[in-house]
Amino acid sequence: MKKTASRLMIAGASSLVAVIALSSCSAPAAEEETGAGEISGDILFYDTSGGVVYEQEALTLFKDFTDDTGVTVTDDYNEAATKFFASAEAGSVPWSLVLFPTVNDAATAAEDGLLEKIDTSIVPVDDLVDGTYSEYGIEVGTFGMVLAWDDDAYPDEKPSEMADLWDLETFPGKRCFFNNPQYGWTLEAALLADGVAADELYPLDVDRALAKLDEIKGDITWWTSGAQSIESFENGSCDIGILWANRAFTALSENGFPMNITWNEAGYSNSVWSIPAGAPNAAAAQQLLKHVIENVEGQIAFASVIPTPIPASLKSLTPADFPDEVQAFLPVGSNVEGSVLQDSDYYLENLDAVLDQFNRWVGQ
Amino acid sequence: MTAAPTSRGRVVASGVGLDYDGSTALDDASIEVHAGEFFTLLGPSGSGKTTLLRIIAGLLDPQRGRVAIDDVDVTHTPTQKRDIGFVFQNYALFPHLTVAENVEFGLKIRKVRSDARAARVAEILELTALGGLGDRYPAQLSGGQQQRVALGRALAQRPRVLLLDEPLGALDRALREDLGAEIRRIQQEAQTTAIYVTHDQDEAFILSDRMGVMRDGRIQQIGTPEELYRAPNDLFVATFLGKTNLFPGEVVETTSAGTVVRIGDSLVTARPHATSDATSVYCSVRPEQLVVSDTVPTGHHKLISAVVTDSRFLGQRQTVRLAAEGIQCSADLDPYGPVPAVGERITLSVRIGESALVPRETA
Amino acid sequence: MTATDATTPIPVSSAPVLHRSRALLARWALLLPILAFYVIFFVWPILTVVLRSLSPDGKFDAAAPQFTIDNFLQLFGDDFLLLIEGRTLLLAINSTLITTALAFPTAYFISRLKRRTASLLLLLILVPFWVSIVVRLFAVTSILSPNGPLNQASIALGFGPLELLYTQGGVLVGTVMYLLPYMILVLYAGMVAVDDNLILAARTMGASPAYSFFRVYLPQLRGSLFSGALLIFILGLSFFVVPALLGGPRDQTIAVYIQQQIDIFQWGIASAMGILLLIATVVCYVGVVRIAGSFSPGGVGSVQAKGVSAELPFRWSPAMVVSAVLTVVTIAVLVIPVLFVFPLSTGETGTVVFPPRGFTLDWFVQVFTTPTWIGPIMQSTVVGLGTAALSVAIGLALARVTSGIRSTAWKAVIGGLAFAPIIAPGILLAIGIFDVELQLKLTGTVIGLILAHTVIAAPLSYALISASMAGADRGVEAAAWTLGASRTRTFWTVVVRGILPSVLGAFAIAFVTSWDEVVLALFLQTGPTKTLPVTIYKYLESGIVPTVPAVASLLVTLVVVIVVVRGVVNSIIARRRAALREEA
Ligand SMILES: Nc1ncnc2c1ncn2[C@@H]1O[C@H](COP(=O)(O)OP(=O)(O)O)[C@@H](O)[C@H]1O
Ligand SMILES: [Mg+2]
Repeated sequence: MKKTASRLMIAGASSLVAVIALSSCSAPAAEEETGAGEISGDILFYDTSGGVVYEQEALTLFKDFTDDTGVTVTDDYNEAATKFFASAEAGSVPWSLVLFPTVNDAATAAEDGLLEKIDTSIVPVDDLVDGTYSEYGIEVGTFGMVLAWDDDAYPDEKPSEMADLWDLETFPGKRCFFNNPQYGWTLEAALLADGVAADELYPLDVDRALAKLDEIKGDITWWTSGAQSIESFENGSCDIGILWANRAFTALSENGFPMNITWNEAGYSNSVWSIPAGAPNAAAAQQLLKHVIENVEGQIAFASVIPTPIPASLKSLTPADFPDEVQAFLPVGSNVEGSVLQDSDYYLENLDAVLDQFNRWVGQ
Repeated sequence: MTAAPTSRGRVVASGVGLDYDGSTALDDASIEVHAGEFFTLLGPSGSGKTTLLRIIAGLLDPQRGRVAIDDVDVTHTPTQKRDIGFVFQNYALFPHLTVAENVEFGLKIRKVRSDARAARVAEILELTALGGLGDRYPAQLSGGQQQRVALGRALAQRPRVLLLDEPLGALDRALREDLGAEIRRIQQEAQTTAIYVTHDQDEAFILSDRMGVMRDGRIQQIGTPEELYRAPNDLFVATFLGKTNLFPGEVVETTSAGTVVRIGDSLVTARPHATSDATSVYCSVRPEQLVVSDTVPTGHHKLISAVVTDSRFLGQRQTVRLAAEGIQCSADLDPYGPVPAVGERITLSVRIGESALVPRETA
Repeated sequence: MTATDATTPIPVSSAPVLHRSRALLARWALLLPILAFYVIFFVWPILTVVLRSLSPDGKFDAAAPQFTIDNFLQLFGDDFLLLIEGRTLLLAINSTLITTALAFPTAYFISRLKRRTASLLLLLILVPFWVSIVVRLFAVTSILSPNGPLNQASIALGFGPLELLYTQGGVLVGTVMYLLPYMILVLYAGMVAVDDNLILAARTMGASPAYSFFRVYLPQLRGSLFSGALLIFILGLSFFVVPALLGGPRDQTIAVYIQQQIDIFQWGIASAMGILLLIATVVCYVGVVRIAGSFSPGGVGSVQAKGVSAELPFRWSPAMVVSAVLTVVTIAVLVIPVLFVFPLSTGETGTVVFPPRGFTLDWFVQVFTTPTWIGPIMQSTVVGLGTAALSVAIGLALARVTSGIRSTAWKAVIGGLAFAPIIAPGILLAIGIFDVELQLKLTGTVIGLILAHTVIAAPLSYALISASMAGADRGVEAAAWTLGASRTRTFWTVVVRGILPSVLGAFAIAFVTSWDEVVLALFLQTGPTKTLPVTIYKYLESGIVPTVPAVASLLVTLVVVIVVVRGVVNSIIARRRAALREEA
């Protein structure tokens, strides 16, 4: 009987060993840190945008980097930064590059000591516009949250400001909003429509914004992902709403949907690339940042398809450097003159409370 | 038979038959069961007993023929309107009801008033010797007790006919004999007709007023146990009921004393052989009918001479095995009388007019 | 083990004592690793969640433990949470009622059919059952979407556009679709186990069909009905994939809320909610065991068609017509989504549309040529095989130990504990195991996922193996010993060989459980390569690409092949056994 037991366990153990052996093929090998310039291995990328954005990165900026250094970038898509925080706090970080969807997420991570400093001796941060980088990260992929509509639905008068979302007579049809207030510009749009001046938006009067939203609550279709936002337009779930400018561009350029937008009263915000503390391949990640900042051609190629430039603003680059058709969708230059920069400090302070209040409102 | 012809429960099945996907389960069987009679359907497994019983119960619809109970055609009457009781081989007691509730089931359906119901349940529990077990659930009973509950439940609403499908099949031998007798007693007391299915001939002999032997979906012969045993109509009935020795012979003539048959070089007078005009027959002689002696006793006819090959004392009888011109046979002798020794050559004979003749080519 | 007694019936020397202690030792040697496994991956996770739910801010500090019941007070003091709790309860109750109302007539109808037809209909229920829920939900979103076939039909018929997706109705439909096979299989197993003679007996005593249905037939199904209802109620209460994918913000349930709270580190309230689900589950479980006598959801693991008997043949009656109609509805709800992925997978357009435009098989080619899908396929396969191997090992060992135990009480305890992971709320297990694996640095690893999947797959394997081991003749084993075979050898060549079909079945069921699993996998996979269902789930969240329906079609085809092969093999085995019996 003892023999039986040990046999059984051996059987179990050997199958486990087989599994480990198999799985180790797919797991990224943790590399020993090598000297500057001598980098190798893989960068596991904690990505929070995914989809077409990553596909385009892989075709341009990351591909160029791999071609030059041999270091590969592997995508690990997650819908939020949550899992990064959870893992980092537990001290296990397999990633060497992280995309924080908002500046305040990055700031939180830096405060909690979860990030590694950008090595300015390697990364040429001086090429970047002031204020678009910090000790712990560089801002990338500025995304605009714009008023967008199906141009065929409103052949005569065109929407021009957030208040038009509340004008059900002139602009009938369902409204599309993101069911996350921060990335959706939802509360800001409501306040702007209610007559709050753009420079007095923050701190947000959440009660007032939600009261305003109550007026059209029954006409709102909520979207939960970038892809879904344009799908909703394409399948007729809504005719007007607030979209991410880059997705509006995809709908127009790739799917041929008659999407029209205005930057007036739009919001824009930045994402951040950072290197986690204790990243397994930090050296390569520093080199990647340097490589991307210097790869101007790659930046233009990327933004021609996904109009959220990486890095957010290069001193040497102007909107005119990008192809004509994408210029209207870029969150840069004259486009954003009538727009508002989202206040990341406000969200850093108040996100939990705002989110809670919003979720309660939307869930009722 | 025993009951007056006016009592309830006369069952007549005429020409009922049923096929399953082309193969015949029951081949146009006819029986007539008298009111108050204990009638047994006996036959090997697969011979169609259950099928016939279930057709009588209305649990199966016959494709041919008619069924009548008390001269009313019930062929198309649903089971629940036939006023019968049925005991299943596996008892089919309702596991969610107590013994008393099982017994009460049919009474409730008949909307019997509750005091009358209670009285009847008590009466049935008394009758089936289950007093004190009324609150138990079937799972808490022994096999024999379950069997009696099934019987009591079937009898509670005073059915005209009680149908029993191998009700003792699941029990061990000793219990079977006790319960068999009890079933007969209860049936007699309850004064209902009973049709009883079994493959066990001992049971059939003990219980039946009359019985029908079945084979391959057909009823081979109907009669009292004694008739069937003494005068089987065919080879099957002769060999299925008890042991027998078969001596091939040719019919010579029929006289008033019986039919004369030639076996080897001797002539034997057997029972009148009426049911078949075949001339090639077997003369069926039961072991206890076979007389082993040096000379043929009076009133007997010689069958054949034989050599004793084996002789065994079995308590109630002495069984002697014999070999006679290629025929193996056995005789049961009185162990207190003279017993031939092994190797002894003797003569086999049988009482005149007692052996039975059955056609040889019984398919 | 205990069969020692069989070989040495008369304890004349000290040998039996020795044997007994050795057997005891062996039993513990088998039991200990399993026990350790369950403690680490089942007890500890739940304990962590309990501790978190009782700690301020959901952060339990072992060095300086502080306890508070604030989190629980909030569960019942906060209007919004009460709303979500009420909604969850309502969804679970409604879906249990609707599912039962559809499943009962369906199971009944099938149980009254001839064996061949019944097998066919059972296949139509088993295939959707084994197809991953995310694949089916993908199809449902396509069907319910504003430009899906339902809405198109409604507009074409002049009823105007319907709002189906991201509504309460949509969530209800999805949940019912998810629960139906469970209930049908449990009920069907119960129904074919009812002795037809009971109904016949009722008839011979004068009962009308309606009377015998309600007074005799239904009471026999009490156990199955309660067990099935409990199973689907618990699943409905804590399943989070359906409301997450088909519901709008106003259709949030407890499980969705828990996931959201974990996302923003509100472990306290999320843990308290998880514990609330656990308490609700335990209360229901105890209630059902009290009422029905036991919890026995048989049939989910394996179900065999059994033809109707000749005595109770199929007959059209008004009740049967209603059953037939409801069966058609049920099968439509189950089968249409599974079939719907095929046309979607062959369209030429870069976005998935219905009806598909053009015809191409390019997407299938892409599935096998791009790392997007090869990675997940490999991952799912490896995790599935690992889970299956480990589950069968646990199942065999545990069945071995329990089959040697004489005391029925101990058997019940071990059986009950082994099944606990199955009825534990999935979302609770997910966050608990996630937490534990974070501390063990197992999150994101293949091993971590295999271990987590084994927690829920091993009970199923154990159920199958122990059932057939119990049915197997232990005398055969003793006979082999008397012929001089060693115990180890006997175990493998006689015992395991004898129940080989169930061992294979246990392997298959564990594999499929892992292959389809999405909730645990969603929480535990932090790495780049995710399992297939999670990859599909991600696409459902972030937007469908045309390879998704292609993958979905492949998965459906795979299940059809497996189910059909299993069915054919089973029927061949059954026929061969019947033939052998007839010969004997
Ligand atoms: N449901 C059925 N389908 C096909 N054949 C059956 C069925 N029930 C009985 N039979 C066949 O009918 C014949 C008679 O069966 P049955 O009446 O049960 O025999 P008995 O009760 O004498 O053992 C048998 O050959 C049996 O195989
Ligand atoms: Mg029978």
